[in-house]
Amino acid sequence: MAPRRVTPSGSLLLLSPQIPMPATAPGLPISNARLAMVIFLAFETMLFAACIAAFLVFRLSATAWPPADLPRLPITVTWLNTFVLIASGYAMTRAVGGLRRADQRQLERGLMAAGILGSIFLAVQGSEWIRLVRHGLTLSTGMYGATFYTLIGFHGVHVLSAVLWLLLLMVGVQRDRFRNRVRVPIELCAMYWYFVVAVWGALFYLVYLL
Amino acid sequence: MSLRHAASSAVTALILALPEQVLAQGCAMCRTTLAGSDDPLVGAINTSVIFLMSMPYLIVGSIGGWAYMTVRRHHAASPAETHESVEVEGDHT
Repeated sequence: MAPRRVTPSGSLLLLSPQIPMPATAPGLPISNARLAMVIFLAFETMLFAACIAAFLVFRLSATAWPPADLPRLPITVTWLNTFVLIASGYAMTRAVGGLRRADQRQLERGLMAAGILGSIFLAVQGSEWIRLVRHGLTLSTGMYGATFYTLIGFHGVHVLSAVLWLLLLMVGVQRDRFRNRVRVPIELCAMYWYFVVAVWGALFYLVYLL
Repeated sequence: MSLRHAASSAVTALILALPEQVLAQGCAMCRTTLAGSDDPLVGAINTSVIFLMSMPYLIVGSIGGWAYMTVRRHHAASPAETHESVEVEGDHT
């Protein structure tokens, strides 16, 4: 009788990455942690889809969008900000590449660059929001203001949580916690980061360009 | 027949006996709105419904494709290990 082969799958390890655990347990093509993240992202996608569907109802039924008495959204600055977010996604890819090659320096640089670019994105969004509020566009300014602040604010909260998660990971990297092929937390954060960048592409087109 | 079964049967019979129109009132606002074809809101709601309806298929399809590719890549990379991993205790008895 052959012994039963027990293949431990990767645990989430979101905040306590000190336990040695490979990215994918031997014998399993997809770790439990990665699968859980994919399911979570599917849930998040449906959440954003519901918000976008509500936005589409108001946007496509409006005769004038934005209403004549309300300020236009800052397209140029947001274009630049979009490139900043895309660059942060590239930086995250570099970080994951460094992790796979066990290049600590590239990992640290990639994570730091992604964090800084994500923070710049948030700062620019915040300053634009302040400007728009000063020009009279608030959450209660009809459907235009409500849908804008709900959709973009919802995404901003996601970017903020991704940046905070990244900060925690950077602390772990500084303390050298990701040796011994422990890469699940960073790869999960990267998945979340790519999701946030991808969602922004859809939101930017719908809210700013459509 | 117990009292519980009798009650559930009675409720089921009552629901089935209701006219179809009464059940359709759950979305009275949408129904009334969509009845007028000139309103641009009709097209907006239809587009929104199609968009939202397509999302679960898109998500499940994407996850399925990703899982298929990952498993396939894993099998190609380590066929021996994969065959070993499916061996369980009961197979050799």
